[in-house]
Amino acid sequence: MIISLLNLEKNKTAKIIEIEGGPGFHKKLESLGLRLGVKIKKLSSSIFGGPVVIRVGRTNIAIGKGMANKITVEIENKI
Amino acid sequence: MKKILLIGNPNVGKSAIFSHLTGIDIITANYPGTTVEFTRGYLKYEDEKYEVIDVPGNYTLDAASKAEEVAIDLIKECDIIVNVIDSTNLERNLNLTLQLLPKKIPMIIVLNFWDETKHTGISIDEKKLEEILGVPVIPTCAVTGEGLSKIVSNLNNAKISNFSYDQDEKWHVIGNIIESVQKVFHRHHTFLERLSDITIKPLTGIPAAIIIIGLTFFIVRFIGEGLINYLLDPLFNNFYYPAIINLTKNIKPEFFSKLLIGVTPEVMKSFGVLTTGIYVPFVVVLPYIFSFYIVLGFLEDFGYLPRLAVLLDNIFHHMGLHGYSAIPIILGLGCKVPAILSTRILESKREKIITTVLILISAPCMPQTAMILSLGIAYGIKVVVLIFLIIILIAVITSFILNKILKGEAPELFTEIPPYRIPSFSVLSKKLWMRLKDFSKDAVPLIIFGIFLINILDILNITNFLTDKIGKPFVYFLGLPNEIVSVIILGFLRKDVSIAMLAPFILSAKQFIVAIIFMVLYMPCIASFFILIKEMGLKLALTIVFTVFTVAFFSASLLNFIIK
Repeated sequence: MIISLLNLEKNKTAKIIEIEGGPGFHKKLESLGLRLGVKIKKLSSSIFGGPVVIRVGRTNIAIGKGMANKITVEIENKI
Repeated sequence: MKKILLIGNPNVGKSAIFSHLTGIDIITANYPGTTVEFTRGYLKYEDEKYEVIDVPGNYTLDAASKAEEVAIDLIKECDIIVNVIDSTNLERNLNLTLQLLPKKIPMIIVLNFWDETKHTGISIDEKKLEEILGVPVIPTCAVTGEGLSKIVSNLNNAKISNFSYDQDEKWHVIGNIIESVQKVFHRHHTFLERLSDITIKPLTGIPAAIIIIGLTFFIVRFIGEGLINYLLDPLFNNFYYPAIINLTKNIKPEFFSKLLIGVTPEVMKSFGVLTTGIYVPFVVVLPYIFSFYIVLGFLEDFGYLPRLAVLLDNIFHHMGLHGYSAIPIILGLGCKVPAILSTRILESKREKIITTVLILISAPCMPQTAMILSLGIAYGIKVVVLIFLIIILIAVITSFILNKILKGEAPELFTEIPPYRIPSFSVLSKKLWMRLKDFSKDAVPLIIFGIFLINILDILNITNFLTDKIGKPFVYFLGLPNEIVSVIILGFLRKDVSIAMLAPFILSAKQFIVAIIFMVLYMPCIASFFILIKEMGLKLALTIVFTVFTVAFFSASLLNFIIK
């Protein structure tokens, strides 16, 4: 299933497949380890417009709602 | 002299290592962006002297931000790079390392948080990493000091790496390195990780935040008040005061004795250098500085502050900020000077301006808070609570308005949330000691001088003169006694003292509230004024001061008309 990071369900693991935005935005995300092909786990969803919290590797990262909406992820189907 | 650069991602422990190497203490904490200034120190090893520079954390060297540009410039002229890496986050940290290696400068890699790899289920083969990258790799634990002596003894072994890679294949290369040096074991979540999840998720995090903030106030007040009532006040009244009176009773002429011990025996009203001048800084203010920084130090090192920033992000967006602004504002509850400096972690100028205004008006600093509690308690705890609520309300309204006036959008929150870490007792006590030392060195002499000045102006009748000439309009709008004008004018020199100066007036509860609100808000203290100029430039600093003054005057006048 392909979905934006904002709408990804809590506690689900998914792979980043698309990042909307210019090279600056890509670089910014990359600095904390977010880039195409990376697996993330969503820890908490945006409530009342607050940020989304995800885990990448061993780092927890808070991302604003708008930014999260520009990241598209694919949920891995576990066999 | 050789120059050593400590460089690495934010929150990897560079400052802790710097302190160990140079013996210079700098404030460390568990959140990205603790260090905002470059600190220089010196280190001597085998008859050679080195200059060590602690560089604020960088994720990359893309020259995307000013901090990164400065780091790039420093690299050009340094002799040895000490690249500090968070061992539990190899991938992200190696990204910076791979950008440093091609600079062709002798380098050492420090794998910090080595102890944490064990209970996070990671095993790193540091010898293999050394082999691949071609520079010495030293595992350390900066908090306990483990392995740090090896950094020094390996300075001569720093090597220029001849590791080369294709820029486009960077992540692939990093992936391969990690594959061959790191093993990850499956393990259960630790207690601290579960606690982390609980305090981040809004549903459980918001109640947790309320409990933590409530507990913070309770502990600060419990320790502060306990120290005053059971230790310092009895010491002062039973031993110090009688001794001073005894020593000074024969001093002539009367002018000098007035300066030293004042005229009334009531310590808060005498304004003698040796009575009020000692009582205010050491008995009223110091205990609260002490208790506040105990709690703040713990929260900083444990890693709670970034979590609070995440929870507050939504509210702060309505004020044109993102949640990370909460950190400077919380630091401002202690002292405005480090708080204004810490706004450097914010991205845009707009954010810095709004946050700085909020730092200045959202709450009094700890010395002022101590004075407000000390004097306000006579009017009842309700009055004191009301004062703080009014101040917060004014701050919120002001930032809403600023958000509308200043063009632009708040950037979105994008930050790493560090893992919880059990604070080290020795690091905590060292940090507390540094903060108390700074207070004694910077603030105490000014407090005593302020009290001296107030007393001498009073004795020389200058106070009355000022009151007569400038007093009238203020007093009319604020509904305060004429004599308070001199307090307001002098308050700029020392804001906490200015509140102490209210003690001799017999104010009604309403007048007390109006006076406190005005005096907390109307001007930054002289120290924060200078730091404001340094950070913002004269023009912007004056604009901020003028804005804050306007807010103070209007809200205090308004209160005077509203409160019955």
